[in-house]
Amino acid sequence: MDNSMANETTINIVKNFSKYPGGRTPADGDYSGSRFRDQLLVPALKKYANVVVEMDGTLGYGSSFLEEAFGGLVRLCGFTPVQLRQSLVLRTQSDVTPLIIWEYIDEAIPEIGTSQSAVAKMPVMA
Amino acid sequence: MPQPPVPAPSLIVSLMPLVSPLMTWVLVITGWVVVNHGNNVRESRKETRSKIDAIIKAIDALETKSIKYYMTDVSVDAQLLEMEIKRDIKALEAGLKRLSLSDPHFQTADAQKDLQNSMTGGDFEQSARVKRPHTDGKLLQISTDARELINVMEIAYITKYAKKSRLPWKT
Repeated sequence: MDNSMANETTINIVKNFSKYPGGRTPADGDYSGSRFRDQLLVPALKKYANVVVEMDGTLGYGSSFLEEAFGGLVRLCGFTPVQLRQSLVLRTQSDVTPLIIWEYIDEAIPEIGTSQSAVAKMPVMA
Repeated sequence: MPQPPVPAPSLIVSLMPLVSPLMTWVLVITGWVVVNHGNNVRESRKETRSKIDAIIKAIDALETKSIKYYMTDVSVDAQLLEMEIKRDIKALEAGLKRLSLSDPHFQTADAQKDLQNSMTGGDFEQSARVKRPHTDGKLLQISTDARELINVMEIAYITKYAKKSRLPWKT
C-alpha cells in the first residue's frame, strides 16, 4: 500500500493481494472476497479518507468475489453506500467491473446484528 | 444597306470554353466521392459484422462452459472451468470494448454486467456449491442473459446499418 498522502491510500490487488482472487470465504480459497475485505479494505477505509483500489492485472473477477468484498462492506461491516461513494475510488480499465461493484454496494442490505462500529470509526471528512 | 449590329456574346457564353472542362472534373470528383463513400460503408459494415459474429461465437462458448460448470460437482474439472470462465469473460469484455471504441453505437456494458453476474455470481467458486439440474433457474438465466447481450449488439448493428444512407452528405 502507498502511504504517500496522509488521507489517501492505494490498494493494488495484484501487488497487495493476489493475481488470482476468487471465492467468497476462506473455505473457497486463500484469496477470497471476505479475506480481501477484512484484511485490506476495511482497515484502509477506517484509516484513510480516500481509498483507491487498482483492479487491473488479475485473471478476472467472479461476481461472487466482488459481492463478498464490496457488497460485504455494507452487509457485514457497517459502511453505507453514501460513505463508500465518498471514500472508495475504483481504478480499472474495465467498464463493467465498477458497474457490478456499485450495484452490489447500492443493493446490499445490512444484516441483522451488523456492528455499526465501522461507521463510528470512519475518519471525519473535511 | 447597313448591317444590323452583331449582339455581344453574353458573359456565360463567353465563359463556356473555360467552365466546360471544369464541370467535367466536378462530375468526376463527385462520382468518385459517392462511390468511395458507398465502398467505405460496405467495408465498415462487413468488418463490424465479422467482429460481431466472432463475439457471438465467444458468448455461445461461454454460455456452454458456464452451464457445464453449474451442472458439475465441485472438482478439479470445475476449478479449471472457473478459471476459463473468468478468463473468457475478461476476453469478451476486451472484444466488446474494442467494438464500442471503433463504433459508439455498441454500448453493451449493462448487458455484460447482467451476464457476468448470472455466470459468476451467487455460489460461483464456492466450495459448498452443489451441482444443478438442467432445468435450474440459474442456467436459464445464463442463457437468457447471453441471448440479451447478443440482442443488444444486433440491435446496435441494425440501427447503424439498416437505414444507413449511401449518400455521403446524409450520414
